Amino acid sequence: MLVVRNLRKTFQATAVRVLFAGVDLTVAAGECVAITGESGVGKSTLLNIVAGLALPDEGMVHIDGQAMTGRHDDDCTVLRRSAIGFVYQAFHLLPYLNVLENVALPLKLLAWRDRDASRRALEVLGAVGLDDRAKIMPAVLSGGEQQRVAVARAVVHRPKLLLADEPTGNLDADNGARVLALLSEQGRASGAAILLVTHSRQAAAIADRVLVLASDGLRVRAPDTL
Amino acid sequence: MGADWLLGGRLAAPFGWRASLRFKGRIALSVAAIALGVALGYAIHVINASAVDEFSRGLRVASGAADLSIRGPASGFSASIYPLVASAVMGASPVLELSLMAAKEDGPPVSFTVLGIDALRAATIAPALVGEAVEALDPLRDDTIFLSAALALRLGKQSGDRLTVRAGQLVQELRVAGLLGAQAPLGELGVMDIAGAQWLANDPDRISRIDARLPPEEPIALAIKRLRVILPAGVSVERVNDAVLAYAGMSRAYRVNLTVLALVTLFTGSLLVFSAEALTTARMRGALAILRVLGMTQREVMLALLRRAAVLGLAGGLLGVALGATMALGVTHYFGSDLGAGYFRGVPPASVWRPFAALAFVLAGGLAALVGALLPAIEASRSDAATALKASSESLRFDAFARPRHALVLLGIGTLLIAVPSIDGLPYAGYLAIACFLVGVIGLLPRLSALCIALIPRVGNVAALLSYSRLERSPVEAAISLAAMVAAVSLTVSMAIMVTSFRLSMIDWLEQILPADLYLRGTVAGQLDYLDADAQKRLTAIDGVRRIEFTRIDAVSLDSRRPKVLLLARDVDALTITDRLPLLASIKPVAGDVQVWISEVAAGAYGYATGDRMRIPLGELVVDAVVAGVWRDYGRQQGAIVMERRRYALLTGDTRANDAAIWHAENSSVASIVDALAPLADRLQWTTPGELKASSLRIFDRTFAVTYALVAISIMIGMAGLSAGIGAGVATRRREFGILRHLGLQRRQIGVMLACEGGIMGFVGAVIGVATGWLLSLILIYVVNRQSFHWGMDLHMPYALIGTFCAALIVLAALVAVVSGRPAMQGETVSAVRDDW
Repeated sequence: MLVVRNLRKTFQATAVRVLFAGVDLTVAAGECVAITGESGVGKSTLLNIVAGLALPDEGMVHIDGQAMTGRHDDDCTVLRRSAIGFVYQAFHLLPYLNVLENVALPLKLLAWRDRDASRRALEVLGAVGLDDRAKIMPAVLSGGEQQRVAVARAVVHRPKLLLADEPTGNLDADNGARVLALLSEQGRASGAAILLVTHSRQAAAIADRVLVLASDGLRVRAPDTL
Repeated sequence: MGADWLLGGRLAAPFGWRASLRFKGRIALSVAAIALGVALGYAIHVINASAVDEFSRGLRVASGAADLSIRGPASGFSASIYPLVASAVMGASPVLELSLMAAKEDGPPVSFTVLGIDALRAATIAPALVGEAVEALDPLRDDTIFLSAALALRLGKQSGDRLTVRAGQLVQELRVAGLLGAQAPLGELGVMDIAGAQWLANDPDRISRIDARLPPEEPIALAIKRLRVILPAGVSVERVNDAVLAYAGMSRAYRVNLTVLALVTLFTGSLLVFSAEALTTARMRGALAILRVLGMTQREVMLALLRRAAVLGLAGGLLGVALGATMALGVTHYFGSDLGAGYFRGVPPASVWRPFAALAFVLAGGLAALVGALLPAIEASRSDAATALKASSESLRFDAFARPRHALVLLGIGTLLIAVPSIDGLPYAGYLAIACFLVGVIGLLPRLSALCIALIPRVGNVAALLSYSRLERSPVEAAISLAAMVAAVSLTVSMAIMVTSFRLSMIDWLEQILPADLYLRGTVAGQLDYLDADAQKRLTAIDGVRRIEFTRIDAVSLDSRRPKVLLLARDVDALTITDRLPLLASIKPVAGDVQVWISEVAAGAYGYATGDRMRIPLGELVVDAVVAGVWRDYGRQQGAIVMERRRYALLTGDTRANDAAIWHAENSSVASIVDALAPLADRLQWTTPGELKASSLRIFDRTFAVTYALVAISIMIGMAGLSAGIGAGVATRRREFGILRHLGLQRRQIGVMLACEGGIMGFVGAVIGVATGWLLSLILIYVVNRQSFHWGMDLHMPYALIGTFCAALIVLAALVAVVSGRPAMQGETVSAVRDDW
């Protein structure tokens, strides 16, 4: 589902510094891969390159057989809106949309009709246990509830690839566990590949494989050695 | 160790200049808006005050040390009164005021006023009027004239030159004996011996006024009472100061209205400060919360914010005064010190530096900024520190906006104020009503904008839907951005409606007041340019004249503290008057009564209505007349009274006329009548109604040029306010744009979203602004104008103008939003989502 080959990223500070190089990665449909690594090693950057939001210096990214690298920004955006779902540490719900509208937004971007989008969004909200909060604004939800809404939004359009960047970083252990379970359950149910960036042992535990990102590429590490 | 340490020390850093540099754009806009408001106010004040001072000084100089002025009708009065007055006071000086025409070699003739004086007597009362002669006896000769510096320059004459003047039918060559001294009244003025002036007036017995000086110990009121006994009817005695006040008073309403308009511009600037401070304090919420946690009290936070605003306002005020002084110099250079209204033509301003006024306007700038910053400062100081630290939210919530009670109370007060009459001739309550309505509407902005947004049909486009949702659910933020724009649009629309109503009413009025085919009048506007019985006969006998109506113009004083009212004795009667005057009210004539039809201005200023009786001093008579009607007159701001000329001639014996209106016969034309008038070209000036209308409208537009300029600047400030509001709001939304990009919105779609937001904001501002402006225009037309100038007008809506203006606003707002959002959309938007909201 996700194929990454020979990815290299540098950044310019006082001198050009290689963030990472030689990154190869394949994530199959329904598989969950966790990426760990030291702070500043480029885990989030890797996610952004995979999502077509940042450009690599070298290498290529394919999602469901379609190249994400080397395309025009608008083409990347169109592919991203249909093929990728995001979950972030800080939830990032739009504060001026209610819960239902937030979840339905990816479907609206895919030109779903209002009625169908609302029905599907309510269905997913029901799956994350929040269908009774559909009409309220995100600001009044707890952190755990907000992240569940974010998970619902990430999976509502049945993406091929779910990208999660420290999804439990702002949550307590119980809420974190619930969100991870939802993420895994919803992802696998829709057959999506999941790429999870985390420092959390608990989060990495849901992954089929755990990889460590370093400047010279990705190395496999068993989850229990994290 | 308390507030002082906190405010003065490092904890005050969020209020300091280094921290404020984060918001340098908004700070610069706030200072500029205050500076512009102050500049306009100061420039208008300085120009007006200087002009009034110089004009008053001119009048005072002309009367010199006189305490009293004895005046008669415009036609003057008998010089036989002079010995009576002279024997009753300590000193008296007779004056005859004439209008003369001087030939000029390289241009059209120049008309000017000449004062005929008795140099020996004037020397003790008004020495500034006695010219500086090379030959000692020149001031006493009847063939010499002294010119003011301005007139000498205009005529290109100097001492010793010959000057040919014409007074009515008389032509006379005079010798320029010298110039008037530096203390003489400014403007174009000539002074000659009274005997020479009487010869030119063709009446050796006529004088215009007597300036009288009293012994220091005699109370003026007592002397007035004493003199009234010896003066014939129609000749009045008044304090010299009353005359000065009367002339200054005539322009007062105009001057005050302009100053108020400039202050409204300053108020718009104050609203811009409000928008800027609200957005700035929202972004400072985290820093302020830390200060509160560390021990700063609510009061200290509020004072620190207000102190910063006051400094900005004072800086704006200082800049504004400097700019205003420069503007005053420029305006008087290019437009003259009358600001287009014609009150003080030819009077240059003495100085653009007026220390007390400058100080007052600098403080006004500080005050305006404080008023604008007050609500944001209160809100920021009261915000819950714990919540602010946890959420680090930059969203805006104003408790003041959450309670519409205050706004509704203000609207109620405004409604009540409309019914309050003028105070001292000025519509103070009307101004306050406008302020109440404006502030009340701004207080209701979140609710009103929500109503307007609900009116907009939803479209399926995601970007548009996002913009609707955002504005619908952030009404306070929208209100803060819109406040300055709504004020500016309201002001603009109200002025546009008022000026259009006035202009179209004036055009209607001109149609009614100028029914004839040709109008004649003397070549010099003044008393001597009359048409005597013989001239009237000759004009009536011209071939092709179907009808001719003559008008005799006189001036009568109904109140010594007010300017004289013009008396128009016309060839009309109770039956034809309805065709000649735009009557607003009339009663059936009563046989035997002297009937007069008074202008709306005279009715308003003196409190007369149809059916009232009024006493009119006519020559040496006082006539008891009935007000048979009130008519609309935009031409004579001092008021006018129309009387049948037949009756006027019977009462005064004066059969002369100043003007004539001619209707040509069917088989004739204006051109053939003009040809027939050629032999009278040296005595008459003729014009067609079309030329008169065009000239009147030119004067109208000139008068309102300053108004247009003020409104344009106000709109600039309002748009700057909207731009600051939208711009600041958009600039803080990098994270939102980031997440939208993650979710699959293209840059172009975010641009569309911002354009929709800006367009909707522009639409909401335009709708609320137009509605408020319409409301304010009613107050301007029916309260402020009536109370200031006593004239009415019909309401006319400039739909095309307002429509175009609103469309431009909406497009501009959309552009501003897109341009403001561009930096936030570019670059590493992806990194934005890594931060907290």
